[in-house]
Amino acid sequence: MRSLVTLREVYKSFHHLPVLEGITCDVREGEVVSLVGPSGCGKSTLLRLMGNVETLDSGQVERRFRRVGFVFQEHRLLPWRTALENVALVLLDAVPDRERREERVHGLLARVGLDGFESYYPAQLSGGMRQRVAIARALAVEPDFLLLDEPFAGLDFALRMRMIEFLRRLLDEGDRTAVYVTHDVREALVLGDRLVLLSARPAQARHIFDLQGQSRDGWRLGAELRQIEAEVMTALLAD
Amino acid sequence: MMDSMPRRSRAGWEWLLPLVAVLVLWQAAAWLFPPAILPGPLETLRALAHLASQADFYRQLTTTAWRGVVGFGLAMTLGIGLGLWMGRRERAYRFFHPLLLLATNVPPIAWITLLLIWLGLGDGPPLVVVVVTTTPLVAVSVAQGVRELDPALLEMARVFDLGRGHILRHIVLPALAGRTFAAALLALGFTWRVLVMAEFLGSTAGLGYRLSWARQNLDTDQAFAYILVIVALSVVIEYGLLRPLQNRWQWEPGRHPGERTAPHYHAGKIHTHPPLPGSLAEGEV
Repeated sequence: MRSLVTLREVYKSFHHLPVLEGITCDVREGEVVSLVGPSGCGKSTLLRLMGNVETLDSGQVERRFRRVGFVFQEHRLLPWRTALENVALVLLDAVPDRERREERVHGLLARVGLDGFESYYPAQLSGGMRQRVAIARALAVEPDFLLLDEPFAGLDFALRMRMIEFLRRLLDEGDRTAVYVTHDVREALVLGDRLVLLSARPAQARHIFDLQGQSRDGWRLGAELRQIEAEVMTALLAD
Repeated sequence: MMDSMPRRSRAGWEWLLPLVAVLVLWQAAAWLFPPAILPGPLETLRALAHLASQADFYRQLTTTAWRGVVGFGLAMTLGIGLGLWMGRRERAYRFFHPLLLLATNVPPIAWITLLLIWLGLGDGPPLVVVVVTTTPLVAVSVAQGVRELDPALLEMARVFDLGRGHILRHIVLPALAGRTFAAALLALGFTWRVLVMAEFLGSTAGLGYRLSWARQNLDTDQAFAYILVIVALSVVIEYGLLRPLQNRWQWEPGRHPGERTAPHYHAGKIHTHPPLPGSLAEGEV
């Protein structure tokens, strides 16, 4: 299977503080890769490098995607624009005709379960709804590569699991390639086809787990995945 | 709907109270002094009616209004342009910021004196004094606003490949609207004060010039009438032009452009999470 992003021996420092140390991994077309590691280890930096938002110090990054969609940890919606206008913002050039653009945004908001909320401002929506608008915005650009940086970090467990399952369906529907950053092992196992476990800063790719074909039902994990969960948690606790 | 009614009717006349208080105090004080020193509200109105019947009054009014609007418009254009540039370019900020602070500390009367020497009588000094005294207020405020722009929003714009024009129109300007309108209101107040002062001291036309004429002739009632007109002019521009624009464009937490009241979530109605399409039933998690 073709790789959309390949990283070889990637190094990155901020003000002489090494953050990534010799990371080698790839993201294959159609798969969801979960990036897991302790807080502050450099997961987001790695994600930003993949999306070409960050430059690297040394090593090699090959990017073969056409268009990237980004969902940030904070929703990053413009507080002075409605849900519809926030999503429409990224389509101003791609769809110049206002009517067609809004029609498309209506469809996108309906896909994330927000039909009827088009005219609401971010402050009038709950945290989960804001992140759904952010997901709709990322999908609006019709990305072949989706990057999600702990998008549900602020939500409670039940809502987070519902959002993860919803995201899984959304990704399966479009057969999309995605990288999902999280420090929550359960989230990573529920969502990912592969799991890249990073060490504490400076981050190294400690282990890559293949999760494809493992049994899981929503947030409930099969025996093998529970075994992997225990392994990953032990590694995180050891850091 | 029901509980907003008494609030609205109270707000309808509450603004009149301080005005009535001033009128009462004014009239009370006017009884203590001869009209040549302190004319009362009625004498002032009579003088105003007399002025309003003369064509010259409208010429002076138009001159001052024209100078004020053009000077204020120029100051806003220059101030916003310079402020945007200073906010984006650190070297421009370091160069201009101390100069602008220095300029705001020069008393307007000093500017007027110099401009009268350099430019003589006419439209020049009143217009230029408005521009030099108010541009720094706007530029410093806008520059500070640009420097405080949320970098996360700008990064979002970059990630989604938004063009510079879209970033300016949809992110930068709305984020700056609060500071810009606050600076504009301050600048507008300043505009009338320095404009009338410049006309009073060295002009052959305008309400300030007429005020100086009334002082020389000891026409105190006309002086009061001119003061009333100057205040009315500034109120008309502020409430007829600037405040409606502010209401249309300015965003602030809890009040969105075009909205007269805060959205209802402030009244405690927070929206519940609507169901996710194709997700687990609520009871399952």
